Amino acid sequence: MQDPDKVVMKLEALRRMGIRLAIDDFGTGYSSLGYLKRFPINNLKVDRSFVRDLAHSSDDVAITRAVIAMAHSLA
Amino acid sequence: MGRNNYCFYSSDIHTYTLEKLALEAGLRHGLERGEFRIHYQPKIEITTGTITGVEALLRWQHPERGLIPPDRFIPLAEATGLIVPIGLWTLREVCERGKAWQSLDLPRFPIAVNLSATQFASRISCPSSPRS
Repeated sequence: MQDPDKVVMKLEALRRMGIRLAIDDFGTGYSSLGYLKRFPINNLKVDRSFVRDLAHSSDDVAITRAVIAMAHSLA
Repeated sequence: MGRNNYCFYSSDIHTYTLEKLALEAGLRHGLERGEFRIHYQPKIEITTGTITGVEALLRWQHPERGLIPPDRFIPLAEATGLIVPIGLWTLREVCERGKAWQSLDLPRFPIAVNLSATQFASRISCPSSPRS
């Protein structure tokens, strides 16, 4: 991604307009823990690949629980 | 590829490249020809079953190929920069729809719309508000 400071300014401008911000597909691709520190995010949307097999995968449960716990403590 | 390297030609590569080129050209024209659609998927609170909002999802209705799934064209739109005009179109469309819904006698609900990280690289990432 380009200059994170500029991105932060744009995101804050959106927030001032009353728009809530979420990171989609969290845990894959562009999503990095570093962004959580800098960006004014309201919600995380955990990527489908972690949620799809929640009922059968203890690894997915562990990852999803950890992401939820982290998100709540950042809030 | 550099020195001391080789690779096998595969007709799959050729087919893949042609397919990509055709899609890329199609993307450019798709916007002008109004081939993009927005589907509004309800977001449901599973404990109560109530609709808490909607998510706007971009779809491409190709005249010959039918409905092209987003995982086929979004990465290409991002790689070519076409995501910027496509994203602007999407935002404007969603805002207009939201405005139309507001004028109906419905309870207020939020509309979610996806932006690509690529869109934040562009100088204008939001449509200017209509000046009427």
